Amino acid sequence: MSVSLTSFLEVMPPLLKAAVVTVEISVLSLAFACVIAPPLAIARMIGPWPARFAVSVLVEAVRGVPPLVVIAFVYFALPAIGLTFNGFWTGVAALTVVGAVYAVDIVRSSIESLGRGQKEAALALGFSVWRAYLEILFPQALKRILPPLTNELANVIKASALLSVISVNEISHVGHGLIFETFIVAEVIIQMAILYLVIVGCLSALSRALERRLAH
Amino acid sequence: MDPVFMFDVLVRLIPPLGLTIALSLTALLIATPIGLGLGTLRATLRDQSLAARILDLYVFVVRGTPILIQIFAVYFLLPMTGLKLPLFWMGVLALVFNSAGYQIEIARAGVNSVSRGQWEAAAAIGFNRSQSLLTFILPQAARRMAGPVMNELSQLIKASSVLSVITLYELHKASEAIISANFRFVEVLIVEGFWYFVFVYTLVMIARRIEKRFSASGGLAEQR
Amino acid sequence: MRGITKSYGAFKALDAVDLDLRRGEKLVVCGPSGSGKSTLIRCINRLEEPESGLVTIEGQKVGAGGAELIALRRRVGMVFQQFNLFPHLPVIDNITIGPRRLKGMGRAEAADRAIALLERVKLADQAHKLPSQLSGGQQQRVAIARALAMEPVLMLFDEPTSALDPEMIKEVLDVMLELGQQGMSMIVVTHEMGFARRAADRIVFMDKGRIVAGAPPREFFDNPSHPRLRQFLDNILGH
Repeated sequence: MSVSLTSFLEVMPPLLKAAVVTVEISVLSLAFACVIAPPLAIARMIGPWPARFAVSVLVEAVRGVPPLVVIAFVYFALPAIGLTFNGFWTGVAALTVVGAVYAVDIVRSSIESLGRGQKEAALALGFSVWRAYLEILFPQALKRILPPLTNELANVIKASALLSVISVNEISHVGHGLIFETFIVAEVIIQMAILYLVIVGCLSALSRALERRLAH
Repeated sequence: MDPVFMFDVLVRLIPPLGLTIALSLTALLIATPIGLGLGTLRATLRDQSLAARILDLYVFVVRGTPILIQIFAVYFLLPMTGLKLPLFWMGVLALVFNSAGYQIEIARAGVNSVSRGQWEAAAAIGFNRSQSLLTFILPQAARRMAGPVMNELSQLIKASSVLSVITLYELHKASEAIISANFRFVEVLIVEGFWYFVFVYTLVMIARRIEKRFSASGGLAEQR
Repeated sequence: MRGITKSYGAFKALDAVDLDLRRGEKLVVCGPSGSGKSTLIRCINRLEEPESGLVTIEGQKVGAGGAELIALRRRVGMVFQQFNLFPHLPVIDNITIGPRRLKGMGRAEAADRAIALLERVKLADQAHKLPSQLSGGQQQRVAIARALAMEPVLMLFDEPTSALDPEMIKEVLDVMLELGQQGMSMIVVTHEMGFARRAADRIVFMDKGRIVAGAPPREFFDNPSHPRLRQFLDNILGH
């Protein structure tokens, strides 16, 4: 096995292009997940029992099976209910589901870690239960949500590689194709690994910086 | 949804489930002693030492790259070095490579979470470092590792599904094959998910029982 | 309140308690731990849900939930043992968040009134600090101001000084004393018998989920009617 710089550079342009797709998909998915997770988490904690039940089942089901199963389900289910997305947005939809259920648990445990007194103080002032969660408890929990969410971002980036099975043109799919087109193997694999390390590293650093700014 | 069809799928997925179980348990049995051993070792090394740096790099690469890339590496790169492994063992190797990395981190964090005062107290009554580690530190650390290791176990099982890309006919590959034959994805994926659930849940139950036995007897120290 | 009953499993925390409070009355509730005093006042604004019984405030029944309960809670202030200030908000926002979010008061007006309240609890200079930068006694005074900002007709104090260092207890009790002199209706659960003697119109003693004695301070201390109360006073007042 030998690694040549020429081959390494030869496969670089397509892989870099694919890396952009990986970043876009991961960031978009986590952003969507963050938008839908708080209401779901609060519904799970204080919603009427059918909502609590539905969210619990969704979370446990998605967490209990491999992400590939969720991706397959979204891939088949979207067209079946009449939504035809291209590969990119199908991928975003699938990763959003995966990201959201983990985010639901992050939000929930952060709010629960605040302790009973905060909720009681808000209720005693006259906030309704829903408003107490949304206006008093959730803003406080934000600080505690960010560190595990940074971790979750790394998980979403890594899970995005699985979208190669539904032919989304991200790093893993493009790299896999390159191996069979060019028969350059080691250079492609090493470069893919480096790209993921750089992406995970940079985005994590970015989100930690954001964390610090919000902490003040 | 057609219950007869689902039952049929349930039965047809049993042999592939067997492969998933074989892959996961084999990998687990190899990765756990390696990972926890190396992680404990890492916790006792100075950060600047060469061994510590190598271990850190390994953990960094495993945690920073998708399992899919690690599987590609084993599948494509290993044969180029002249090492020919059967597909099953390639799959196990990829899972071990992955899981051991995570378990190193679990063990390192577990050992480091025991306060320095415990080391100092052990040293003060005349224990050397390895005696202290075995007698005082590890029993305390083991309890903190139990939860994360259990979590890693279910991650490993879920990760084994990615081996479908190297044509190992495990649970997910088999489900995909059934879907592509008849496109009844809802039923097939529910059944597939059910089997993963049962497998993960059974193992977690067993692990909990083992954990309980340990804590009931006061941890590792008093067992010897 | 009439016939308030609350149990936790087999343990009866409150056993058909009746209690009346006149407007402007200052009532101190005391008793050994586990006697049900905290549960009693938490049943008033339904932080605890009693199994049976009725609470009426100014002729209005306190319902089990919904808009009425929320409206009522806005008129009953509560001060907790652990302060429960909102740690992510500066002191001033802790006080204004209720009027602004719940009463739709404008920012400037709410802030003005908050400053006035902070002056009342002698903390006007701390308005822009975070709760964590204050001492326990200061935090508790902010908590009192926060409750007052909703212009309550009744204030509930749940062991307001139990979590404080001894030197800070007085500053909180002084604020409460002043509040009482201004005519606020108050129910105070406390072990501070000195405060009870000076501030209360009436003291009730609870034991095992029941009110076993109740009297104005002088009679309560000098002529304890119940053997269990005599024993309690002996223990708490020393020898």
